[in-house]
Amino acid sequence: MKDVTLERARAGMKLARPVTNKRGIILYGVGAVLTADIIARLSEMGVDQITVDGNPPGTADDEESLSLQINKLNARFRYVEGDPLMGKMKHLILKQLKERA
Amino acid sequence: MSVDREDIRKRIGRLRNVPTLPDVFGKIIPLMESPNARAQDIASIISSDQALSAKILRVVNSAFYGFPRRISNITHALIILGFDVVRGLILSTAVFDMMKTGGLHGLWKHSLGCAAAAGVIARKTNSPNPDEVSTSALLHDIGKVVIRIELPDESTLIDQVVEEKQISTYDAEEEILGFNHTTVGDWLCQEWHLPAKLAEPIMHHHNPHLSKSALVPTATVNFADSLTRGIGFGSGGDDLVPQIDPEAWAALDIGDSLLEEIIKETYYKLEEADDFLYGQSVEI
Repeated sequence: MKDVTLERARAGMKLARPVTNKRGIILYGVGAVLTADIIARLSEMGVDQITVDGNPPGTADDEESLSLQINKLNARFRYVEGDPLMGKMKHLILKQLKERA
Repeated sequence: MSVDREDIRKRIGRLRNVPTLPDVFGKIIPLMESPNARAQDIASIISSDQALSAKILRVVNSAFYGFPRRISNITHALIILGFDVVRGLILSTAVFDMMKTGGLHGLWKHSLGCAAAAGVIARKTNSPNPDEVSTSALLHDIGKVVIRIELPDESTLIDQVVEEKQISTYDAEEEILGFNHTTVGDWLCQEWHLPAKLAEPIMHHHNPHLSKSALVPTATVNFADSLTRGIGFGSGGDDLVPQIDPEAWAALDIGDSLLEEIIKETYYKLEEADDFLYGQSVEI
């Protein structure tokens, strides 16, 4: 399975993880086959990354996927990173993200 | 929109009878509270519900608990985990069924992740009962499930407020309902007679310094919730990491190197746990 940015999603790819909205409600389940319509709908809903089966060619490289993950990490900590403890926690999570990329 | 708090409370009281709460729950409560309770007697009641037993054993044997040896039957689970943990697990199977009904898979993932994180923190800080802490972490957002199912219109408004104002679900619940999911969690814990060591982390996970008799377990769940959200595992209804309570943090006495160890191990645990969630069978 591979994480791909929505720009690199193509019709025919199969979801390996469900796509959920912010509250965790499943919009498209595991095994759903992407169509141009579905990709357009995901884009309208603000979904920026999905996980698909296999390792389709032309999908996001690791560096891209890492930068997306870092952006999301920054967004999650946006209100609390000024606090020394929370800043430390964010830094340590970032370290794990980079080590595992 | 105004919400009748007493009306909600009455509706929650009736949840005791919802079909998702297994029949055996009512049967084992008096036994578990009896001083002469024997694990075999309780196990034989739980085992009479095969689907429930299978669900409990599947969670217990997953990466979320992470025992070195496989727990093969309910008697074994009761002896190793204790009555309170098994009681919490029975509740959690019911909660998961409710989450499925409400389409809250992201919240289930967050809850399982929080249970795994709480287990890591509890073990690393030498908690006398890490399994109890994990179980209360598994149930910590139970109030959100009930709000979602009992108050669908208000839930939609809560989602809108979270999105528009970029605030936490907790704050949006206060704004729309005048109370929040920890209030509902408190009501449920009372209805289900959960002991304080399981109930206080559910009631006070956003304000652990309010805990009267379970400060350290409550502080652990406060930290685990924040860490799981920080890592971005599952969804608690918004994408914000909550501030860790400084008073409760002091009670945990975690230095810099231990903090790094905890985060590293939690990361590893959550990767394993992901396989459990997205493996052959997503349902438990």
